[in-house]
Amino acid sequence: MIEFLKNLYANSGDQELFLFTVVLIILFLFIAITLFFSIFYFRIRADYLAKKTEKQKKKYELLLTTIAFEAEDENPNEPSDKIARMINHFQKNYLSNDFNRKILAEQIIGLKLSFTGKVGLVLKQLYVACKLDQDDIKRLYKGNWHTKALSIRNLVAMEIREAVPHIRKLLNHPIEVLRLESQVAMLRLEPERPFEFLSVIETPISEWQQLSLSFYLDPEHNSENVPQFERWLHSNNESVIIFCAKMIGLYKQSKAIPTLINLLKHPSEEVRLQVIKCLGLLENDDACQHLIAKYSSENHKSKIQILNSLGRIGSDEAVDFLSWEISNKTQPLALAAAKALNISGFKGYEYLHETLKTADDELSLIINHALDERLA
Amino acid sequence: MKILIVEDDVLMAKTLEFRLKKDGFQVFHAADGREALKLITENEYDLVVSDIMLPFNSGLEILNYLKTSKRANTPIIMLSSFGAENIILEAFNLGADDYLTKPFSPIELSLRVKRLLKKFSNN
Repeated sequence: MIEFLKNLYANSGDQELFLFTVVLIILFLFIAITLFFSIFYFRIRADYLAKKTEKQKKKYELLLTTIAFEAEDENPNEPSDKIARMINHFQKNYLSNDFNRKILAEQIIGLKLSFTGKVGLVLKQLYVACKLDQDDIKRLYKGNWHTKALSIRNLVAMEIREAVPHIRKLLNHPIEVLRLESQVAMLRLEPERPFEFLSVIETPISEWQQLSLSFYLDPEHNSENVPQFERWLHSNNESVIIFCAKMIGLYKQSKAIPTLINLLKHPSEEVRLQVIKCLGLLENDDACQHLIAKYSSENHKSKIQILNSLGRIGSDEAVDFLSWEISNKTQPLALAAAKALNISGFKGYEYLHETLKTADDELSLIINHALDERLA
Repeated sequence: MKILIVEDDVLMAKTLEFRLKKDGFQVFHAADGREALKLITENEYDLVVSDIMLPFNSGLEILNYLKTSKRANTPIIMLSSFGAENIILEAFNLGADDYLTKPFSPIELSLRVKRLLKKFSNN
């Protein structure tokens, strides 16, 4: 090899280029060797960790299943000496380092997510007795956002209500996922006043967040504690108002109607649009005149929504207005009015059929389109 | 009586195994869908408890196989995660006898197992 390089050097016309090539070869060789050993090292390390994890998991499996099994026959609020001894055994032998604690926490949380009843309670006791909750609370203050998000999930899964003040500090975190996790945590850990966080959040609640939050109000979760969302309709955060208007419509909280009517003057188009939608869902006659008064000054999108809401309200006043509006020269508005009449009740439906008898071609087309059940 | 638990989460399977053994059943475990199908083909069980999300073959495939085979009379309880209502409906369509949504109490499973076995033995 050296001989070859010497010959090449002697015969080379450009010695600088030759040196540059040699340096490049040496550099690439060095990188290749380093890469090889790095990959080798990381693979060995990963294998070692996987084996260690597996071994540790097996150790915990037996103990955890025994505890879960014993728990079935116990009064969970007064664990027997046997369970207390097992918890003590865990504390002494398996929690000496972070690795072991992490594996144990994963195992306990995984099991807790699958089981309720006495087993779930004893698992929570074990989690707390081993101070694994403290590990998760500490992680809320340091590390990456995803570590914090995972810790929130763990604390929620284990129903650690003492973590609420710590999680509350993350409600306005710049990372959206972390904000959502902390908001959901508030709902789950404080079911008796689940939406208190709406008073403190300063950042916008995205559509996705709103969807996730409303999911936790599902009857399967905690519908008994649905708050009166009206109290947040004066929030400085527009997304909070929009979310609350959606919830008011969903839970038919008619008490909020006067406040909603006032919000028809809100400077934000999005807020007004949601409020108009909500008033339609509440089907309250009092809102009708306010919606009609607002109609002429609104933009096209809001006008369509007003017509739809009037159709839902279906009062005489609403039907009269819609009947007049189907003659509107702007076709989408006329169509929206016709569709609204179709859903407004018998009077509106009858009006459409009567009008159809004497309507010109364009109006007939609109009415037939609105009446077409396939397009409903 | 022989019960087959099909569950990929070892810890959960063991807890259920403990519970059902305590009730006096002979319990067998398959950690994935493929192993479960093999065991069902080769052996006869009085009842099957199967998770829906499984490696290789899903719980629904196991259910379908069981209910269209010569062992169609074997009752099966499906275990599903919260929010999988459409899958539960599909499971009932395929002939599932009962289902439990996680998280659940092992005692509840034990009671459902006993009820189903009693019902099927009467039939």
